[in-house]
Amino acid sequence: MAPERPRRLHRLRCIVGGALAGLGLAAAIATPAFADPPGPTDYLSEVRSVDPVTSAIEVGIIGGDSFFELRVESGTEAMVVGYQGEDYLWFRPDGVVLENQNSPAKYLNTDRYGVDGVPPTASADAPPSWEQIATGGYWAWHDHRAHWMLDIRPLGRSAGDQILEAVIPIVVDGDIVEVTVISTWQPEPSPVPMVLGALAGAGVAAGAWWLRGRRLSPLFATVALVLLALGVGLAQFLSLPSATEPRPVWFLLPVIAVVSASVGLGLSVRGQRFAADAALLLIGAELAIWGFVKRDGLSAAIIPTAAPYWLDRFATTAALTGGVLLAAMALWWLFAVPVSSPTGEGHRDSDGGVSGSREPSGSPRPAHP
Amino acid sequence: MSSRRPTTVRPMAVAAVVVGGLLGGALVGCGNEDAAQPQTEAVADSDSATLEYVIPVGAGEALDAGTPLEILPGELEVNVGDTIRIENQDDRGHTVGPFFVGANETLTQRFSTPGEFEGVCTVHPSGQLVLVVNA
Repeated sequence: MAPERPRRLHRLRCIVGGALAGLGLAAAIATPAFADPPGPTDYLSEVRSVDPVTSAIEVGIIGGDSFFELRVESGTEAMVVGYQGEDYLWFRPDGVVLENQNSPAKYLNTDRYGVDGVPPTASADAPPSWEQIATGGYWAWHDHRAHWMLDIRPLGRSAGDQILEAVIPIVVDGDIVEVTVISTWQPEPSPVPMVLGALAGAGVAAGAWWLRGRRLSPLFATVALVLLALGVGLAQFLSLPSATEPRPVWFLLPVIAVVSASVGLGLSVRGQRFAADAALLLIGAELAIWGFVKRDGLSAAIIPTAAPYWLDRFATTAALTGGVLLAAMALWWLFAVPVSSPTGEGHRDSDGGVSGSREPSGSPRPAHP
Repeated sequence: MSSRRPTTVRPMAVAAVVVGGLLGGALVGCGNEDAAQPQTEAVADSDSATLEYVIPVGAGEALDAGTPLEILPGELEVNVGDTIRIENQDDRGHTVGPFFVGANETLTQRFSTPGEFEGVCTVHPSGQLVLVVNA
């Protein structure tokens, strides 16, 4: 048995190293980028009117109340007026979109709540300094006239009430066009999808535990959950235009989980249960991190996604609950059960697998289904 | 068998505690926005008010032209029980600090709980808003 010990330690280091690398990758992509993409919100902003009506521009709101979007017809010139009356965004007739680097709005609009300071070089009186930011006559930005700006609730108002009315002036081919935006406080979401999701996540973990107890790969139990997370994440990412810089983490974490499940199942079939447990650890961690990243959508009325909100909330709590439980079980099987299997049926051998109590240690094992 | 029972129960119990803590933290962490903010309650417009402000006719057009709207001071310090009344004479709704007042509407509110808030206000000349409600 002595030569087996270094071999097992080597495998252990490889697997733990791989798992840590995967978790590190997950942490890296889970870290918020510099941009401030649309997030869950309780307020629904809508364009109430465009005065005078014109077909030369199309306006809208993205992510509930997060971004104001403007599309200008080719051959039309449009200038978005900043908060202090200055030229802010210039949509040229050829579709090129330029941003005035000396407009205070440029800096205030970097963040949903305008927390970034305005440099002293930026002022309404400074001559415009134009920089191209897009082509195709389209751009979207955090226009603070289109959403509730404070991170406290509107005082004296309640869910269902209008809480904002503002005008965004746009000069279209030399004429002022007033885009009026209103915002309404939305009621809190139902907790039912969240509760059901948590139960489903616990069910996935219970299924993994049950499969493991019957010498089947617990990874089979995770397939539906990782695919659900991937679908929900992709729906959210793809539903937002690139100008809003949606977070790749919404689908990359489930992608890692899907890859881990595929590899882990392959290893299970080859009887390498120890490596499969490491894959389970990675899957659990990715799902838990994904659920944690999306936790704000659990209590907000609006989630910036094309998927039904109830499905998003269901998947979030399912991933959070299932992910933590799966990771905990994988850790237990990897490191805390060196002798006995969870069911007490056998012993972990040098490959990290579990051999039946009636089998002599080191004898060939039947492969996992 | 009895010696094995703790090895299966313990990890599930630990995991359950961890999951419970995470879920609780996630829900509480994104749902307690109202906890620290000052609260107000509606008061009849006929009652006297401690503070009174008026949004004049044409305020919206001034905003469109880039003129900052200074209705409330950049720093507003009041006491619990004080009453604020904002009368909007304009034909457009306006956001005034933490209040929204609809077109041609009067909003009267009494500060009912203490609290402090500091935020960005793009329509105020200072760009900032500080609200302090003392107990």
